[in-house]
Amino acid sequence: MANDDLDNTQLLRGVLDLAVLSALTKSDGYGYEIVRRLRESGLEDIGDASVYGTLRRLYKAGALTSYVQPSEEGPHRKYYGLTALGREQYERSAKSWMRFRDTIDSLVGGR
Amino acid sequence: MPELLLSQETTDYLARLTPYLSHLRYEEQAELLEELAIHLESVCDVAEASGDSVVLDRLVGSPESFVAEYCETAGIPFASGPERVVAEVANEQQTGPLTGLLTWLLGRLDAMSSRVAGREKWRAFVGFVPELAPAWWVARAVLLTMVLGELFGGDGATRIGSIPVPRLFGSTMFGMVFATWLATKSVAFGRRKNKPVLSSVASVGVGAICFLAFATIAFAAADSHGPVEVVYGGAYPPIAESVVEQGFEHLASHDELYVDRWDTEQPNAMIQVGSTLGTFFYFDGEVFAEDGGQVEVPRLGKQMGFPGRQHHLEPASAAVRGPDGDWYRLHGWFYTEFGEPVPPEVVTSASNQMGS
Repeated sequence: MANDDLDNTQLLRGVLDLAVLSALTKSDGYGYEIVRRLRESGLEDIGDASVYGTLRRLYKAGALTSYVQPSEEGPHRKYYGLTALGREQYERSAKSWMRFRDTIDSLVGGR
Repeated sequence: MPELLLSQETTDYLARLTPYLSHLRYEEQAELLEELAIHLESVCDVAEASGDSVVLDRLVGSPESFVAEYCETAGIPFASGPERVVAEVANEQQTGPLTGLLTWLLGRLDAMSSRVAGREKWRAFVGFVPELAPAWWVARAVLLTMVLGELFGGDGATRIGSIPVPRLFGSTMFGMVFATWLATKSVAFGRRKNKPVLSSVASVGVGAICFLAFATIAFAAADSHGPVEVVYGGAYPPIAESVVEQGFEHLASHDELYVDRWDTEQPNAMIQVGSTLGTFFYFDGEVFAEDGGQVEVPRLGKQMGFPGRQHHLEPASAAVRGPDGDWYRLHGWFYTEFGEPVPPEVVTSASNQMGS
């Protein structure tokens, strides 16, 4: 439904950083791969440009590092990975999100 | 390392997207475009494999909306072009004939730029211009040195052969050393990758300095007429006046003596240090040319500092044999090719040696 899509988009705006950081906790990835991981996780509405913009901002903030990975099969790709600062940010954001989620869950469940 | 061959869809999309990135630094534009090229190729491949039509505007949004979303999430301002400026002007300044005229002009410019931006040649040109960035980084250092030389030494540039070189505090050598040092800083500045170094106010200042530099070069270019056929008017016509009137650079057919054409108000004779001038003679007290002999211009001690020009020297007269074999008078200040003044006593000494 259109309203649900709008809600998801608005909800996503607040947790874009956490979503992108989460996609990189297990392994480094390049832009397209990160978009794909997020969509496979259920965030089908996430925009390609939003992911690249978030990557840029997190990189500038020192939460991400980047390097170019040579590839035998295709062009060299720019990989992103979490820095120590990024991992700290991820853990703090994850805790905040879980507290927020529990609060909303209790509100919704208490109806 | 396999090369990435871009599909037509990706190429077209990036060409339409690039103008919306114009407010980003060149390095950032290049990095983003490179990353997006790979991304869009992957999007195209997946769409093709699944049997979808490859329409990138549908798959990832229009170029304008893509950049707008990118900028919003990246936390940087998005400039959508002249139409946004028009809207801001209209909103901020309300009404008035000046605002109306400005809005109309910007609207015309917007329409014109949109037409030009859509052309293939323009997109190719825009794509090529960033390749010239390193040349500009060096050029701005040289231009800035010339401007400083013009402000503090009275003459910001001279020539070695036909190549203009910067001067600073009256010294070509100092100007070249300073320009080289400044060029290294300029290149390092141009290649910076992280946060912008300059504030918006400082950027305006740098822009103004660059403008002054271009203006300096433009005026210098306007003053230079290039070699023309020398027309002599009679016995001993003042060469300085001939330079002003006719704008020619070379007085005679040899390379050792020529006139600085950058200053047509007070032309200066430039003499190559250590050279022997077989057709160069000085006037005696009766304003007759001493005939015969050769003059060797001695190597002069380095004179640096401010002021560096002819303020402390008297002008001297000399005669030059023209290509037609006649003698012509030159009255002015004499400089080495390094821009250092030749003192009048050197002229006198050389003249005495010739006469003896």
